[in-house]
Amino acid sequence: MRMKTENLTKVYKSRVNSKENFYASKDVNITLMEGETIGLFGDSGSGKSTLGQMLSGLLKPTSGRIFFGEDELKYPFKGPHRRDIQILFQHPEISFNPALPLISSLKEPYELYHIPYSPSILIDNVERFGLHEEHLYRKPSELSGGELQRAALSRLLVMEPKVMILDEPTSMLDVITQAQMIQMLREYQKKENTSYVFITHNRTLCENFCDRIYDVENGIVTLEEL
Amino acid sequence: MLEIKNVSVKFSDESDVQAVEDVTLTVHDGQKIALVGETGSGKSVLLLAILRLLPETAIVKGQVLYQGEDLLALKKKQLNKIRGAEISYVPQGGGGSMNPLMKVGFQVGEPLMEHKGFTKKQAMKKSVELLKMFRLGNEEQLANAYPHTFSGGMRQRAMVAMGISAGANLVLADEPSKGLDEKRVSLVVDAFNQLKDEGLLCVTHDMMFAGRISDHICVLYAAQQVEYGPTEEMLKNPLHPYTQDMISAIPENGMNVSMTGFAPPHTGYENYGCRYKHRCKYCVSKCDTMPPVFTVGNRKVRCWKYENEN
Repeated sequence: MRMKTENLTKVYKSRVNSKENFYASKDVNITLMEGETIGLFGDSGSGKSTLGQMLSGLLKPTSGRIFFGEDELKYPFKGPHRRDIQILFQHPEISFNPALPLISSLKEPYELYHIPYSPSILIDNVERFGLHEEHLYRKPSELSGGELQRAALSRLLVMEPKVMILDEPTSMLDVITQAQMIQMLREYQKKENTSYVFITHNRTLCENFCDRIYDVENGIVTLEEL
Repeated sequence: MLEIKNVSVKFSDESDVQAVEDVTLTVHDGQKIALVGETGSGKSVLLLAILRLLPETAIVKGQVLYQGEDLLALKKKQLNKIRGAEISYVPQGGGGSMNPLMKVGFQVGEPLMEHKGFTKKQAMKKSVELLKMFRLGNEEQLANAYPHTFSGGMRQRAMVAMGISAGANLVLADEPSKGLDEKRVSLVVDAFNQLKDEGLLCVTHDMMFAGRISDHICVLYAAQQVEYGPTEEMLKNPLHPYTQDMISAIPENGMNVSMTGFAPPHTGYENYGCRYKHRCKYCVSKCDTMPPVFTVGNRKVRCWKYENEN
């Protein structure tokens, strides 16, 4: 068992009537095995991203528990598991500081986690994702969505995460770039035995990429029977 | 109805980058054409160029003939009579394209007041009818609501309603399905399929969506037209290697993809040759020269493979 949740719940108070509660996630129990891809499938507003953000430690659950292996994770995540869980967002253009050249943003994980760094290491790393040295000195606005999403993925993998939360990472990309991203993720998983939580509203993509699928509807999560 | 003749767009004189290069395309009465291509292929710029909505600094060459008149040469005043009334535009991302301070019903009816001399009351009534056509549910109430209370899919449909409200002959739409989930995409498809006699030129990056709304598809790659033909035939039997790769990369078809190249080249390289060559599985030495557009039956394709079928 890589990760699991126990009755994970996120409640928002209604702004109109404070006695009314809105459940973005309600008593969610999911499991994630090593080297496995699970899908969170649902329409917009169903609570998929809320769950993804709680799993990656970006959002504080109202109640319930999250486990990484045997260890319980408390918001905000601290210790080694903070690095083990990483998230890739839907909109690559806002995953980077717009004022900085790409290289400054891509250097951050090396500095943060004291990973050996040199410009040539970074260039080698991004070249595996079809980017070149000249891309590194551009601002995010000067790159395409596909280029930025590949840069975001390269930055993530530097941290060698054990779990990756993929929040609609391909929904803004064209089909060829989408297929190439999926291919890269598959190859990486095969090599490193990483676990993925894949959030999507695309049914076919979900079936194609995931080992097990959880349906998300109005904050309630159910495992699909195979 | 609309003839686009050798249209090219550049954003600066000094730069050699072409945003749109030599596009020729005709939309006949009632014809539905999808312009398909990836981000940066020039498809949205082409739509904006047709309506002269690009920044003043953009350099547009060629002709856009609407009922025989060149829109690119018309005086602003005459152009404004055509824009909205005869050719309407459904902008990208319904959200940011509506005025947040005005009621949706008013905005949908605005073209009627502007072009058809409707009073506000008449226009509001008509816009409720239009919203009903797109099945938003509880239309009377929604017409009096503000855009932020709408979901993305609702706004998208309201934008399409706005696009056809003044009885435009031709609807130009930019990425109406982007970012919507499947149910909401279906609602937008339904909305477009309500168009009967109107012509449609719809920009999209989604080949499956194109298949559901169009009778012809024009594929753009790196600012150029690479393939044109009837929708059904193209989906069944794509000719250009880029179209083939795009169709086999769709999740429904198993996402088979080559990992050799990632992005199109800079469009300003002289003598680069075919712009798809570094990603193409059929690339041969001849591809170092830019292929012209070949005609294969009722279809057109820019690829040397079809040289002898010309």
